[in-house]
Amino acid sequence: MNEIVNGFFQAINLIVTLNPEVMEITLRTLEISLSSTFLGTLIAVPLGGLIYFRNFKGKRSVMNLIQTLYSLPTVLVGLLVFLLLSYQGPLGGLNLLFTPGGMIIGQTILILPIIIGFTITALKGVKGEIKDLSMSLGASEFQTIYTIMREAKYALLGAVILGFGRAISEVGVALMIGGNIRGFTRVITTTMSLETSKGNIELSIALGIILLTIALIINLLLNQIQEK
Amino acid sequence: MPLLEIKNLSKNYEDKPILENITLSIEKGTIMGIIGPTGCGKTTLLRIIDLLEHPSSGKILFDGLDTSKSKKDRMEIRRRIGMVFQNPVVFNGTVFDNIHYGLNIRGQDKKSSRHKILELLKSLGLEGYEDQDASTLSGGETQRISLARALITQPDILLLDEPTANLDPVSTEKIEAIIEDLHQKKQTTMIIATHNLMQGQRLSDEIAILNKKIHQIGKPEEIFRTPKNKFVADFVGMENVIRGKAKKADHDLTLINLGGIVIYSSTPLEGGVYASIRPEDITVSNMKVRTSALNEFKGTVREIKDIGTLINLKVDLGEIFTVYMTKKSFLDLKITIGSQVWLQFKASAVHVFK
Amino acid sequence: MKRNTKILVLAVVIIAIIAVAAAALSGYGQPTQVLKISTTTSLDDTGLLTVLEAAFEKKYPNIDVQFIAAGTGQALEYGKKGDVDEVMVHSKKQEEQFIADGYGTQRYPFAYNYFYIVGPADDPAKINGTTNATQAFNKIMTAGTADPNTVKFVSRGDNSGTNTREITIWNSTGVNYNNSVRGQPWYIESGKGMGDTLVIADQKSAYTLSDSGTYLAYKDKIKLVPFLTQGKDLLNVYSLIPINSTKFPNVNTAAATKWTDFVLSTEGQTIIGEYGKDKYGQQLFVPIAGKPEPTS
Repeated sequence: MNEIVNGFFQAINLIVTLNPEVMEITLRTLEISLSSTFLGTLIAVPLGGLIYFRNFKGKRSVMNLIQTLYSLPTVLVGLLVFLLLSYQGPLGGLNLLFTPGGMIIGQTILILPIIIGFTITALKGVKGEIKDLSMSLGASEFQTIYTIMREAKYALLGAVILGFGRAISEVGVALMIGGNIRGFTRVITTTMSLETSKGNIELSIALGIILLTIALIINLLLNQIQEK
Repeated sequence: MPLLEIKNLSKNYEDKPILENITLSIEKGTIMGIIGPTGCGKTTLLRIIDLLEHPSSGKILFDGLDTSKSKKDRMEIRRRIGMVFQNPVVFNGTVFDNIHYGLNIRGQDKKSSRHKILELLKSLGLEGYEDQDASTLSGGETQRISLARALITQPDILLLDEPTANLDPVSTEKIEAIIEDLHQKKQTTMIIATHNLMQGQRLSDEIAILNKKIHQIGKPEEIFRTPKNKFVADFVGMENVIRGKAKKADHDLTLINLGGIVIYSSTPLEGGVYASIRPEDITVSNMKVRTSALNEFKGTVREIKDIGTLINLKVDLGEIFTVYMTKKSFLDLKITIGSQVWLQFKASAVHVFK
Repeated sequence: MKRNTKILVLAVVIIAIIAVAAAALSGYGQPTQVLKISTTTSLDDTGLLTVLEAAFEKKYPNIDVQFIAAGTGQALEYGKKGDVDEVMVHSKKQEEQFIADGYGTQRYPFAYNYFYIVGPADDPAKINGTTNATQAFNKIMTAGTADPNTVKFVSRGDNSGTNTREITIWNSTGVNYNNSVRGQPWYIESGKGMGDTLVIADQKSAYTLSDSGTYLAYKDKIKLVPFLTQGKDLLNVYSLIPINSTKFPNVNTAAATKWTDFVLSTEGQTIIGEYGKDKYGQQLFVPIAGKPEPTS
């Protein structure tokens, strides 16, 4: 008990004094997860739109598959991407294993299903009349799609934030692809999971508090958006 | 050349027919009322005219152009048509953004359209609304915004689907005034779909009675006076419509056996027919009056209804007839239930249709 | 809108290019060269590598040394795939196989210490006074079999160097590890790193085998005491093995050689010998560069 209380106070101290290690890890975590969220959004939102707007054989199965992949185990993605990026793997020549770039690829793959799925849900939330209305006012097909996306913008933002939440809190990909290299690929979750065994409890608690704060901010944002 | 020509148009959803063999043409500057009960296919017809849906068969020519061509051609034609939907929705944003939409997708920026939009808002009685969040407006205001949104691009034809169905009387009056104004000052060609017969009659140059197929097209008074069939007669609120058998008699007259009674008609139609006599064409008295009316019957008053300035009587002549009389003559004749009265009407007042 | 859309699309494309470029740069087009070393967690956990790295990078500022900590088994696996340039591990048998299979060039022992057999202070298996690890393990097994509620042993169970050594000792008692030890009620496999395993053993009042560095780092947080801290079968030798560049042409041999030379140099060996004296009050590693490998 004493250890927890002590650890907690030292953790607060690390945060308020802007401890360089804590700050560095936090910034890197944000950088990597924001990058994968950005890349993921760039791929997933148009893809979700395509799935929603086009009718094709097996559409229902594709949507089911996407929903199943919401809970894609992070270690499975970690393993797959590890095998891909390993020197002898098909993408070994890119030298991305144990780098932030590799982590971004892994996290992007991890969050694609969730952003695609929630993009589809967001578009479904737009009234059907909007499509008729914009067509009727003379919009081309592309302009109509753009209009529907714009109508769904808050729900789409929600999808992106959910993706970010998953990226920043996962540990499987970050650890297996990043390798938890100090000053290079060490992020909040990998530090917490591995540094604890070094007796670095204070650092872990401090990072835990920061992660929790980020999660809280994400939740507040989502609530704010959903109220719109 | 008519602005819009529809030829033998049909539409099925799966195997269910929604519209059958519609043929219509609308001249520039006129208003066509499409009138029919709920579920008669009005909305589907308007959506097909707006090129939002494809007909199952048949043709639509807009300004002489075939509308079944490529997506791009259809969009070009659609840009010349304005439509106001029955349940108007608004885009996220201000009133200004909403009205600007049609101009925006045609490549006109906000700055250059500002004056035009403000003018239009003013003419619709929506001055000062431009910066309001469109989702906060009332039903009547939203309807006017929808109208403005469709009008801003100056369409060649304006389609209005039940423009006042969900509105209070004050808002309805405003919308109707706007429509009349557009008709008179701008000669805007319009198609108004409505279930409200009186509104259709008030606003339109011509009306079409629709129920899957078009039962009758013509000037409103023509349709009111001489419905072509039972459906139209019922729909326009014709009373005293009775089925019978017609047979030629002498002097250009026809005798129609209605079962209980036989009446004279001047319409040369024979066989199974409907006969209808407008209540206001029947005179009521307590004794036989000398007139030129060939049809004279004595009957018993079964029902008396006060409908304001008039009294509505149901008289049993062997067939039940509805007649109207003024309050004064009603009191003068001292009519009560069970009174014996004479009904008289001319042979030419009997409208006969198949 | 046509123009707006174009601008929007253009903006998105530009941002995408920048983002991808940035991601790629941060991973791969690094301005300095990188030396990737996979290492055992017990070595990494002591903090020694951080001190060595700082001194090395001061000397070679254009080389960025990156450590990937894993169990010895996993660390060697990374080497076998060509994903690292060098390994630093502590499991002689596995290391020799690694070199025999052609993955590594040569084994460079650079330091040693001893594994500790630690356990609850009341010593329910009475191992205090035994003279070697085999004897101690034998006593734990006998006492554990007799009374699994009081006598327990926690194993890493993760194919690490420490785990490999532990199994070797069990087998040296004359029984078959898989038949008579693994799966017994008194024998617990944690599947975790050394630090976590020590904490688990502490909470269960169990014995365990630990490397000295991690035990000293945890000494103040747990109640376990060391019983055996020396002897031939507890000897723990750490070595460096550069990855064979004929097998994996991508490895940074030049940097790996510089690192090997540095760790084996007087400067590197002094750092190793001094490490831990200020923090734990005792030496954690004995440098052995240029000396024959100790046998006891």
